[in-house]
Amino acid sequence: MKKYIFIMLLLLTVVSISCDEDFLDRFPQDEISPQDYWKSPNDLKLYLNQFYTSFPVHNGWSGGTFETDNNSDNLASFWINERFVGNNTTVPNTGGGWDWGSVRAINFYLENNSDIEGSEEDIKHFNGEAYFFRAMIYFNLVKRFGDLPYIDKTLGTDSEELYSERLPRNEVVDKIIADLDLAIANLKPRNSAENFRVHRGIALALKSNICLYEGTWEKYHAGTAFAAETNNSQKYLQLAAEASNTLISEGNYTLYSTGNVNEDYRNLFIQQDYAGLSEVMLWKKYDKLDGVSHRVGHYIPRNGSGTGVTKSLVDSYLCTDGQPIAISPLYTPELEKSLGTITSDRDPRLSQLICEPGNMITDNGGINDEIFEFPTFRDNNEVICTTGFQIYKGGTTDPSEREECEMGSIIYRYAEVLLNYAEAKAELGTLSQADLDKSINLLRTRAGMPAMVIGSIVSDPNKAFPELSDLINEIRRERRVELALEGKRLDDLLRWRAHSQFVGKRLKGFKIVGSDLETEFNDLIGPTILVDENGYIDPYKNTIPSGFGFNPERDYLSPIPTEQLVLSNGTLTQNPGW
Amino acid sequence: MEIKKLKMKISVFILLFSIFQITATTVHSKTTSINVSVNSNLNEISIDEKQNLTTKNSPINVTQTVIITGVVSDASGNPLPGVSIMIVGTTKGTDTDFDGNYTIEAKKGDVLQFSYMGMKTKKVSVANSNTINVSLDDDSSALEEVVIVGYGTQKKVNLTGAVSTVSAEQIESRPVSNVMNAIQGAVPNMLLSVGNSGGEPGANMAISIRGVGSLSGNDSPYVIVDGMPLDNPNEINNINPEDIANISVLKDAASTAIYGSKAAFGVILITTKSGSATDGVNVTYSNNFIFASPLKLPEMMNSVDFANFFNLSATNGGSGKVFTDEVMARIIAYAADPVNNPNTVPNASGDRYQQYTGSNANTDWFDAMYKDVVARQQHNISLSGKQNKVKYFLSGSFFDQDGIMEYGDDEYQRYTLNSKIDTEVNDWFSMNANIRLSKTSIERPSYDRGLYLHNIARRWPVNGIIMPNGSYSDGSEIPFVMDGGRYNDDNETTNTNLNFIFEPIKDLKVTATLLYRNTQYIYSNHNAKVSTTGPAGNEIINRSWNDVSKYASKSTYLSPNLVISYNKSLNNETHNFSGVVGFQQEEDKYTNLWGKRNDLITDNVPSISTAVGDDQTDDGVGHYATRGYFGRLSYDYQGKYLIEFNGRYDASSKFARDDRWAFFPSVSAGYNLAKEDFWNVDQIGMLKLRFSYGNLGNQNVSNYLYVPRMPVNTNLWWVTDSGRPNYTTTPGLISSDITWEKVSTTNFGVDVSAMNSRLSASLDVFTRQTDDMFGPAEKYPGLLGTGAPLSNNASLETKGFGLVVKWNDEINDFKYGASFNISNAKTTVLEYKNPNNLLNTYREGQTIGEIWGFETVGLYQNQEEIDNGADQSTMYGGVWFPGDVQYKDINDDGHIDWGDSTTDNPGDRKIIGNSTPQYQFGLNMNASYKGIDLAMIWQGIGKRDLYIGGPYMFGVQGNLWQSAGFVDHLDYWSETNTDAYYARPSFRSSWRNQETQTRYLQNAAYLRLKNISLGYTFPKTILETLNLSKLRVFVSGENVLTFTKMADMFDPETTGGYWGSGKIYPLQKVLAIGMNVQF
Repeated sequence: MKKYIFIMLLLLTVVSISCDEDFLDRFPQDEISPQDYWKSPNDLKLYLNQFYTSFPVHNGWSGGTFETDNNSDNLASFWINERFVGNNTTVPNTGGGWDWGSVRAINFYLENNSDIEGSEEDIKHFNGEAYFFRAMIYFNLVKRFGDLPYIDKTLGTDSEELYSERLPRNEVVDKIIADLDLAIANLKPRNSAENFRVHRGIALALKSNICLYEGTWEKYHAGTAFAAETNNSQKYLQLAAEASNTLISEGNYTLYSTGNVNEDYRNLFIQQDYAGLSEVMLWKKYDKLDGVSHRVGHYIPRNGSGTGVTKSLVDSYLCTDGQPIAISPLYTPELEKSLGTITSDRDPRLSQLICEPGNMITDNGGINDEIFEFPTFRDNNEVICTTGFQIYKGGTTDPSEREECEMGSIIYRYAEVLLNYAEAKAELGTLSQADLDKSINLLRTRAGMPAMVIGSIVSDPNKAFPELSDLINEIRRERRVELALEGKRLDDLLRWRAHSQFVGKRLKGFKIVGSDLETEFNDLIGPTILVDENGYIDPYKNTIPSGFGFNPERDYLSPIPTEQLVLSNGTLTQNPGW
Repeated sequence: MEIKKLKMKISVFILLFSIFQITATTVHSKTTSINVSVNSNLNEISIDEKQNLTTKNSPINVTQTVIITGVVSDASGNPLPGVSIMIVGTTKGTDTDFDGNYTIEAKKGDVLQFSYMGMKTKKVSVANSNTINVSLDDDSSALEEVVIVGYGTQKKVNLTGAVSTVSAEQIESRPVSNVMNAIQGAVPNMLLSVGNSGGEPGANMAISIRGVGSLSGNDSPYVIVDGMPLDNPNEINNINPEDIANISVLKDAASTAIYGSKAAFGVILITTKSGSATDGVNVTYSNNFIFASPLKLPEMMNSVDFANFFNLSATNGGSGKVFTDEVMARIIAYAADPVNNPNTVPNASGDRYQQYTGSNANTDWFDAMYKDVVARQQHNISLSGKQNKVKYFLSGSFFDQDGIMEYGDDEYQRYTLNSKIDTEVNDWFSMNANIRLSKTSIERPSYDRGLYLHNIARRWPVNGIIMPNGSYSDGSEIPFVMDGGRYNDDNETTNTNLNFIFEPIKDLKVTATLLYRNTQYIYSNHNAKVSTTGPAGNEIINRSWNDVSKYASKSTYLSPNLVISYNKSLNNETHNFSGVVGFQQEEDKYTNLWGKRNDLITDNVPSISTAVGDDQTDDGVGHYATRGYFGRLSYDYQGKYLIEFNGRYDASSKFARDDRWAFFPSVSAGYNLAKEDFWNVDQIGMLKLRFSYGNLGNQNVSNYLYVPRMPVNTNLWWVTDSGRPNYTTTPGLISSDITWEKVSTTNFGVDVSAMNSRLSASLDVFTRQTDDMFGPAEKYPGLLGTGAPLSNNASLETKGFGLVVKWNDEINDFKYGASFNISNAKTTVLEYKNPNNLLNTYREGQTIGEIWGFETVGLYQNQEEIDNGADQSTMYGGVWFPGDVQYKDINDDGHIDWGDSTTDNPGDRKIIGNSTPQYQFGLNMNASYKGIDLAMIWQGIGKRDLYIGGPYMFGVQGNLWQSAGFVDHLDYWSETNTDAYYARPSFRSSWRNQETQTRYLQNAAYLRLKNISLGYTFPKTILETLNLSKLRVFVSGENVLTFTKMADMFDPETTGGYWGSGKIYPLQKVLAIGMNVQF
């Protein structure tokens, strides 16, 4: 009998165990469901944090943002920019920057932010951040692809919007501006916003950037395949001028200056902490102990970072008399013979841009200091200087910054707003001397250069844009000089439709033949240091004998990946020329 | 459709059965022959399967009781303890004792039946002698073999499913690192392939049964050890290979059905050794001492060739030379006279030695970074025995596997402990407990293993190992692996298995089982500061920071089971029924905790407590549960007609309530033709046809897929006033109705045993279809902004076969045997939503493993060929040169391109090969003569194509930092070597010559002598003086010979690597000596 009792008990246990269906309900224990989220302003903030890593900043083993201009005519990278070469003839199948993940992420915020309880001011501010980021995300897509589908909600796999058509670029830009206006209206001003978060001034700065970009794009691409459907350039230029003017007239930002014209400009970029610098509107902080650092100090100014400043950029610096080298009496070709003299009597920003003999590289406090003698022609190509003009801007001399570097990375600085203002007004034809004095001339003053005076602008016989006015030419020159190596040049060239600046040309460097470096590098000149018939370093001599092949009918916009065209069932059309 | 067809097939089968049966009974019943061979000298009658002794008239018929004594031994004369001896036709019986002796009271004319697991049963009739010594032969044939199947055992002869077995002998005494190595190639349709960890100490292989089953990759088999399911197949390597008594591999749905939810892609059942059947204790000790060396290493160019090669690649790419004339002169001088020349010089500022472009050593880094030979050892000891009603088996093992890294030693250790106790409490209740412990640990440098392997080929030959001042090169990994801190992990698993077995009435067995597993995994990782000494005696900081992190996880598995089985034979074993019903429930939980701090006060004491940086912590918790009811009903008629039904009703917590439960049935049938009376082909003792069809569910996906979740993350890559912020991110899309994958298998099989069981063969042909498969996320327009969720969106079909042929024979003292297996599986996508037939994802009709690529015309020999050939500027807009690859204009449109990457418009691409390993085979051969034994195991893949990119294959890549220079790469095109294999080397845009194409497609088929071993078993006469019952010594080699057509820098088994093809820890060639002693 006992045995049957045992067995009955066993069966009973099984029956009782198996009746409990809840046993099979297993929910995550270390993740939150969206229903449990979206309650407090802090939830908003935590979610928005992810977008802060999308700004271009210093990162990893590279020259950081100071070599972003490798994609332009400011720097001649060892790894030549394939877009300018025109070799990218193939439409990629996938990737290609057609990334809508951030759009989805920010739309998810804007769908879930309505029932938050807490400080009204904080909620408004975070919503403002969200509009700011959506504007920024879309602007980056517009720059790359032009016309775009505009998606303002999170889609599912069965959403019709997956097959949306591309809207004309200025319709998209109008939506971007609408977002920015909401951001400007909601964001806290700098003095009450948390440090390291977006504030109202940054939204205004972004608005001035975007409007200037779109205004000049529509103006200079008018009549081409890249033209906007309707040319609203005047409207955008006006908005650009207004946004920058608001920032200028509110007076919350000032340029960094200690009055030392030979060092201020360079010192601006090598600080670890920008908290006290009003000019720096938004920046990224690094902290070794937190594991966030970069290696810019390993390259700049210690070596060439695998690139070099181009002759074209160097030549665009005015002489101290405010005149271009083509006409200034201060300039003679003799000065080209040495890195030590090429900066003589030039805009002091030039000597803060490139290394000259005697420049401090690593300041060991007087013992074993590392001083610049020669460009790193003998180094390997990862760190070689390609042009002889070795980057000095952004180079810290602090020996502790050589391995893991904590130099901050500037994201928005006020100088750009000033340049935007002047350019927008000039393009509108309404630039006054007063406008110049409250914008560009502030930069000139900091740099120790004479002011730009309407009416007494000399015409540069080598001006970059012969078909444009001297004023526009000088404003563009000022922009190139002030923002050199800050990653703005490519955008400028594209929106100005400036392919004539580089198509069919090769980027050159220092005139090494006949210079004081010739003897030192005699063994390299020819086989390793390629030079042109005039003795200028010609790094791309063998690679692109016929110069850059950028195709103006195609390369102004990137192609949409083939796979996306296929998946759209024909609603997406390819960009011109591809 | 499919089911209708199936039903028809079944009816035809049944019809055939009936016809055969009628024929058998009407025509042949009267001609039944009985073959009895009587050897009167030995009083021994050998009887084969279909003889029925009770129908035979005994020649002697006297009823006198005598005491019979004797010794039972195996073929080589070793006494066999625990042999069961029965008087046929009675319930009288006994067992042999520890020395193989037995005593039994019998009558003259009685027939004694001697049976012992793994031996052929022998029957001997009692004649005049009172001493009957019997020697039993190994049952290497199939007929009496008992096979472990789901929740029971079955005679192999009665199997209706597709089951293969691996015996202990195939595993024992091999100098392998783990069980996986030991079973590779042993079973048809079970493929073990080396993963990205290669031959690293403690590395696992990937196991698949019958090919690709699921595109999500979750198609690994279910492994069960003594009733305890493993978490994943890798844990198989925690078992001591010497503990294994037997492995069954269940392949078709009918065999695996009873295991339900995790068994859709096959089951590997491992049974470990048990206590002996007779009183006494038996001690076995075995060991081996292993010498291992890297199996295959690429050979670097010498420094002069290398420098020229890189210079050429650079100038071909349009830039200046990599090595200046000055450095080149140093390279040449050093290569000619390394004694009187330094291997590098200081840089201009004198604080570092030049590396790379400024250095002039001559180093083969593969040679430098690996040891030539490394010693390892393995020890096993086991006790098995019986005392009264308690049987026990205890074993322990230790394996110490040193790695082959030259600097910064790496090591894997494994300890196992296995204990098994069976107790008969009374005549209706017994219990057994099995506790299996394993502990494995790895210790190695904390420096990333993948990066280390990646960097070996990136260290140029011109870089030296030791600098002129005696310091290790700061441009190599050596300082990092030697001084950069250590990584340790420790994995402890305890498997507890308690069985309570009730037999309230005869043939009814109720088994209640409780399974509990506890796994703890801990690692600690220390990155130390690293510095070297510069030429001026200055300190060079290679790593200026340090940190330490620790991780601990614990997972538990708890599963109560209840199984009731009933067996009944009627009419003198004419009708045999058996049935099983059962209940199983599983609960699996894990939790882990991770912590890290930067900035250790000293690297001598690496602990979180001694670091002063910010705390970083994270944790994880998870769980899942399953529940299932199952049953089996089988019936056979005289062992001739066999039929079996299985069913299982399963639920998994991984699916929402409404999608959770599913029922999976299966059926199988067999027909043993040779048992028919009409069967008169004496040479064939068994000829069995088998058929099975069944459905199974698979739930092998991540937990909580149907629940929307918002990820919370720490340490954003952004610093604020309060450190690095936390952040949340967007929930992914979910499939709220995700449910079971349904896997159905149809299997046809034939088993043959012939020539007195000397020859046996078994063939299975199968079709497995996976429906509602967890396919990879479908492609949607990028505007979606996220991946599509995993859903039941695809269907796959795998077709294949498996064949085993075995031969065993003995000629006097010479015994020999061979077993050959070959199998194949080919998988096709039946359904997958890809209406545009994009090539970069799955699509209907696609054969898994397809390689799409260009067809190569050859290398351009001159400008004329470039000008006259198809336009390749659509592929690459730069200049094409003689020596570049010329692709074929397959679609004849005048230019070479990728089309829109769909099957409709693939550009100039086509299917050029298939990367699925096909026709895998294994060959086992053994022979023995008077104590000497020799065995070989060959294993290989019959057909496989691989396209391997990367620097190991091509040498030169886009830039010089990702390029390599091996001797093989010297065969490049130049005007003096126009017949070259490789294109003109060039750093820029080298990809243009390296697109997937026919020219560089590799034939990855191979044949490998996995093991060869030679052993000697000492004869009894010597053993007696040593007081031992067995002593065998052996010498054995692993990975001895390889035949392949692969490019020379690759081993055909290790083409992978975490950082790219070939950048993998090499497998090892092993030579071992060892012994096996029984006391």
